[in-house]
Amino acid sequence: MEVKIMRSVISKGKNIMEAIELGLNVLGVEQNEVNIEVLHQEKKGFLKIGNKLATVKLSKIDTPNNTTASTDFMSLLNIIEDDEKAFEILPQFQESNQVIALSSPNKIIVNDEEKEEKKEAIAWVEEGKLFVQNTPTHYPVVSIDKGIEVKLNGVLTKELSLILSQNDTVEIYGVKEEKETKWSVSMDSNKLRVTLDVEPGYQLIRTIRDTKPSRQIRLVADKHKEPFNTLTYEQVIQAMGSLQVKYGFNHSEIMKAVETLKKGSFEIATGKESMNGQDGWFETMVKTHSEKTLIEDESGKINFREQRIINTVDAGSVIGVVHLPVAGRPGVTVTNEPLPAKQTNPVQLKLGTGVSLMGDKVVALESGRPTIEKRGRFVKVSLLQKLVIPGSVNLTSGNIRFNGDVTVMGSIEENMKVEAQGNIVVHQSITGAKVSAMNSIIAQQNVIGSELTAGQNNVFIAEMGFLLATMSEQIDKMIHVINQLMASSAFKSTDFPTIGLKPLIHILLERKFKNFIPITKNYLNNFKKGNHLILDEEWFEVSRTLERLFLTASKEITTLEEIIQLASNVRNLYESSQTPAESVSYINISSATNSQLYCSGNITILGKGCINTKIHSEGMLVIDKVLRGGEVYAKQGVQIQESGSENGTITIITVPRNQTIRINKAMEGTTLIIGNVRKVIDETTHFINARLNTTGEIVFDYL
Amino acid sequence: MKGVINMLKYSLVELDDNLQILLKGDLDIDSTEIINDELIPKILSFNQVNLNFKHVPFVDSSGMGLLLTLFHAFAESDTRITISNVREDVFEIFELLQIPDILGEDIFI
Repeated sequence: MEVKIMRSVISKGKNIMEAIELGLNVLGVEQNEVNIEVLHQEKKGFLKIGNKLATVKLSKIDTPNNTTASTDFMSLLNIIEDDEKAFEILPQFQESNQVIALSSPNKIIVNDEEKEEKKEAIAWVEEGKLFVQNTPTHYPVVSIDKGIEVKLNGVLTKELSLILSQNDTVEIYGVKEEKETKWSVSMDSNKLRVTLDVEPGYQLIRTIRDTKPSRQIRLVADKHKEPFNTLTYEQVIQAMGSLQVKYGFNHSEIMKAVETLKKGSFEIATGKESMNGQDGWFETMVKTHSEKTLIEDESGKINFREQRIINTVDAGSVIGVVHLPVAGRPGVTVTNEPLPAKQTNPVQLKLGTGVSLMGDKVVALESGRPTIEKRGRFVKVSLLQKLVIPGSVNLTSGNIRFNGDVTVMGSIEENMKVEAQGNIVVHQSITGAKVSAMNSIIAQQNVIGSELTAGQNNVFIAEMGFLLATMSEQIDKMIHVINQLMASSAFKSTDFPTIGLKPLIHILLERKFKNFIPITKNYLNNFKKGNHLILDEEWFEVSRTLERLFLTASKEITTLEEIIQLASNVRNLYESSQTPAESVSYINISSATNSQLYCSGNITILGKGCINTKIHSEGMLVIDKVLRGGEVYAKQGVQIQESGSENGTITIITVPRNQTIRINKAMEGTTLIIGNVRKVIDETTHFINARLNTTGEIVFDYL
Repeated sequence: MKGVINMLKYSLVELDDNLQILLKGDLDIDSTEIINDELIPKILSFNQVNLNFKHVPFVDSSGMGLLLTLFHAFAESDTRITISNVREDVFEIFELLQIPDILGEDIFI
């Protein structure tokens, strides 16, 4: 807001009327509001040379204080401030000695010519106060820096410079600034930590610097920032209350936050973290002895290696101990809610033949060889008996299916089947037969036209597991829908005890779960095809239940509990299928012709070699003599003495992309597949160590 | 009330080829005879039949099964059956079982 009171003006014009008009414009008044004094009449010279303008003085009638300046003639000198109107008038006075006195409180033009007194025009600041001294003709000039406020005669001025007289009342102030303390309280998503962020405010005090007396001075402010914290303890407690914080207050931190003068973060409440417990586990108590098996060492040589085999035990011996899970300790959130610890899982113990559970100990019921099969949480303990067949397995002896180890002193003849939970050792040959063992197969003579499977068929199990996952999901959803129905206000479940859930399931299978039947049928079909590779009873149980509940139209009453149990079993079976078995299986045979060998561990053929045979090993394949024809795959690499033939019999050897194929003599027809890169050997090459290089090509590092 | 026996009853309104069946009571396991022995024969002689569910407060799984059986029985015939005035909470059950998808949404009028 500009306070400009112009009291009188001297103006010039071509004639008196013009001069008066100009003056009236400047003052912003009407003619009747001023006193007019004509100072000069216009003079017209010849040809405009020597022209003199008319000069009038207009004074506002009601002006209280016509300062001395208006009655003096003062010469034009300093114009301190930009004033449009002043510039309008002033140029017209360039030739005269007269001066415009614009008597506004904030502007006085000083006349240099008259120095009547010796007193100086000075101003100075002392102890924050402004002192002014002027002469009749000179006035000090004060310029004002930012941050300083000046009240001139009681009115706040916006000007950046002032010309002051000692009659003026001037008050100077340093502008104070204040910044609020900023703070916020937040809780983490786990409700375990409450953080208070504080940014203390400050007070900025400006003091005006003292100056020495001088004609022109500058008012300068010295800044002094003082931080202060307006946060109170009560405010913090209230904020925590609104967040429902009831536990774990850190009072010392709150105090620190309330008192801090620096920006900071404070943890004002801390909950208690939950402590995880320990899963249950099975401790094996039986001793093992070492046995020599064949393995390849780092330098590529086939060597004997020690392998630990579990001893036979006496009846009554402790095979192992089931350790219970140790529950974790729940924590507490800052809102005083319990924070449960992670779920601990117990061992899922399954007792096979020949063992019993006494408290937490698994005990052998008779003497035999214990076998412990671990798959993730699932532990199956069985005691394997040994069955010795003194002769051969043939039509006379019948097929063998035994829950233990089987030793055949003779041979296994055509179309026979031998299945064992443990190891199968055949002293003579195996011809046209199917042999499967959960552990290992050792055949000391030829294997011809036969199918040998050692170890669980993990590939088959994984495939079945995949189907189980889908079914498990669907069954869980079905249970969910059934629960929703039962909770529905218009639904009655009074007929469940009478007719069971089958009719309801029937409706659900019609549309909502219409995919379930085809999936289940697919699963059961595949299971039937490959289930000779599975010896675990659980699989058979689940298959039977699936068939009974969903595929047959029996009259029996199906309860919700049964469906929930099935859901649980399917889920367990799925989980067990996903974790690989820990048992070590192997096949050690002398030779194989026109056969199929599958093993979840290593396969070693140490005799005459392998002809026209299909091999799948999840471990390593070692053929001590010749591999001719057929297709072999080993997940952990292949080592062969001689492959292919002079006739170029196609012999396919496959390994995963990160494994190697070692052949001492690779003959024509040998086809190497590493990952999905194929390379055919067209002429005999010796001592190759084939692998995939970084650009995806098969290269040979020669041994 | 859910637990109390609320036997299904019905009243018929015949208008030319159009049969209106106003059901009253629970559609449940006890409705079997009524549906099979009484209503289905009646429906045979009409081209257009509407089942009014206004007074049906509760259903059970057997009742749902009966309903589906009823519709399937007449699927090949010339008789068009519709369902009307189903209560909100009963319709919820129909939807959970996807009955509108099974029978076709246009049967609900």
